[in-house]
Amino acid sequence: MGVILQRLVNGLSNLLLVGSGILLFLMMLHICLGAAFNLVLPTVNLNTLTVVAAWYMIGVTFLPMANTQPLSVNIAAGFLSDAFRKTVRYVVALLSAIAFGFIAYLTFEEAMSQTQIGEMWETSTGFFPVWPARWLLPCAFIAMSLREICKVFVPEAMEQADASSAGSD
Amino acid sequence: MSGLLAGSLGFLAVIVLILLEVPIGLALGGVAFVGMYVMVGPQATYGVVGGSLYEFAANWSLSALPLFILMGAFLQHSGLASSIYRAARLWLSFLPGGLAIATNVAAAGFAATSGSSMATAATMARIAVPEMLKAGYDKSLAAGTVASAGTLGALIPPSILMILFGVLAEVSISKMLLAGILPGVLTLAVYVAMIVIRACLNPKIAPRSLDKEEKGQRWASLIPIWPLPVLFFGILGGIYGGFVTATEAAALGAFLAMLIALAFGQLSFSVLKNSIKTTMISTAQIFFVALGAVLFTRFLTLTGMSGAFTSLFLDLAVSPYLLLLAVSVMFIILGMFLDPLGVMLISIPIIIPIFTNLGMDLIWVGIIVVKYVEIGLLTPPIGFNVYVVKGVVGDEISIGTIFKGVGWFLFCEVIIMTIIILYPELTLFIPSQMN
Repeated sequence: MGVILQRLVNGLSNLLLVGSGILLFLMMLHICLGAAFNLVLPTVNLNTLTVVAAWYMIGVTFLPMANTQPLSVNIAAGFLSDAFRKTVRYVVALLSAIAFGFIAYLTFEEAMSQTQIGEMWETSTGFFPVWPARWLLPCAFIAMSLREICKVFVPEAMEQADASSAGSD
Repeated sequence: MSGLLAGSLGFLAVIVLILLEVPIGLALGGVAFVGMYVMVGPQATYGVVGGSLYEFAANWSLSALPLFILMGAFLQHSGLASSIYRAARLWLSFLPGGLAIATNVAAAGFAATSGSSMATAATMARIAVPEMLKAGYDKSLAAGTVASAGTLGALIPPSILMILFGVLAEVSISKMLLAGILPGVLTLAVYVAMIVIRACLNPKIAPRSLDKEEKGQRWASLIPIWPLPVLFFGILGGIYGGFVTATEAAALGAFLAMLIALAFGQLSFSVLKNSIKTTMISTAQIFFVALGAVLFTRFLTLTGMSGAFTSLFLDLAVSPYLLLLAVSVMFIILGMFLDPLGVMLISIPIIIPIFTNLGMDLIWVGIIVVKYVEIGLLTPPIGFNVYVVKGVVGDEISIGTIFKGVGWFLFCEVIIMTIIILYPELTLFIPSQMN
């Protein structure tokens, strides 16, 4: 059961990471094209500012979060016992799972309400729909919540997280 | 409970949680959530949390950050760091303490692509420390140089910390990036002067090491690093001339870096994939802390703590220099225990209103803040750069020896900070000339 959960979480977070990578690459190309058009053909408007802020940045910010270990400070080593640090990590993972799950619910409600009203941003060329990007937030937070649940119930997942956060330090 | 008490308890709770190794973003966000829940109740808290996360991310200016990281990732995967160090070593080894100076210059060059202090320290530690030890350099000088040289990454544009400061303090990111140039050059110059003086006074700590055969390769060593000045001056020139915004410069920089890697035959699918992957992971780590800080800022606003501090300082009519001194002490203490991003993000909501009300230039304040945050990376007991270098050099050099080496650079920082604080025009000259 634990192995299946871990595979599911890894698969989901990898999928989100790939999605965010594609969005980052597209964002780079879009901004370059926008800058080029500004110089050469100023009449062509690619809505760069709106698309970057309301679409790409939402994906680039939230989608990869389930695939990375949040930065923490490894300074308690030596001051606190290993058993205590391990307990803290499990408590943090459990609380994080609840918190991310709750944020997923809040952002889901927000996405639902923005979808119902068809949220748009006003641009120089008219109105641009931005509501679909709202759905990326609940997706990302569900993945983050599942990752924390996995850390609580699958010991290998916690070890994997520890190793990866040690690497990032 | 009064707002001021709630804010103070919030700060205390964040520091305790961070010391307990709770991820920084989570500590900030968690305390903010509980604090807001207690102060304004559930409905308002849910509204703030649901809305703030989206509003923070949906930001055009902030998009410069992942794009600059991507630019650095492309260049790093093309093996540029080793080439920069080799060129610096060949050109500067004739000086007393030449290898240490080359390390500083190479770190400044590398910082122009990575934007991160710890990434610069880690990369230079891998490349430069073995070379210096092989040449008979004093261990504390070798490791201390690398740890300190990493801090140039926060000043030499593009700098991740400056972009975040610009976004959160609502000042021009382009001007912030340009403002880092002269303080970065000053830092490099003071570091180099200190190394030369030490090597002249005690040649044993830095024996000279270049043979004649290597001297003939000086010009050839510049060939692989030509893209670096082209990119650096292209980006800054574009921003300075007002041709592009910081975000457009970042996107063009990343795109050109990709083309350069392609031209050098280094852009395989694997390099492309790894560059994007490392960018996404670094970005997520930074944004996770930043999102926590955004929620914490909302909480502090609700407590009225920022306003209370501002009124207190304005009532006391303190001199700006006295205030800067107080802030310096605060940053040095916080920097001893917290990571640079956390220090900057939790302090901005408190200090910015105070400096704004005193009429101080926020670009100059931003450079001072970034400098202090970087000094915190070197101070014991938790000098992050020192531990990064220790992680790379392993058992060969003790942590005490690295801190001993860093001590000389901290002394330099006293001189540098004094100059930056006493002469704001040094920082503000280039941004003031911007088109």
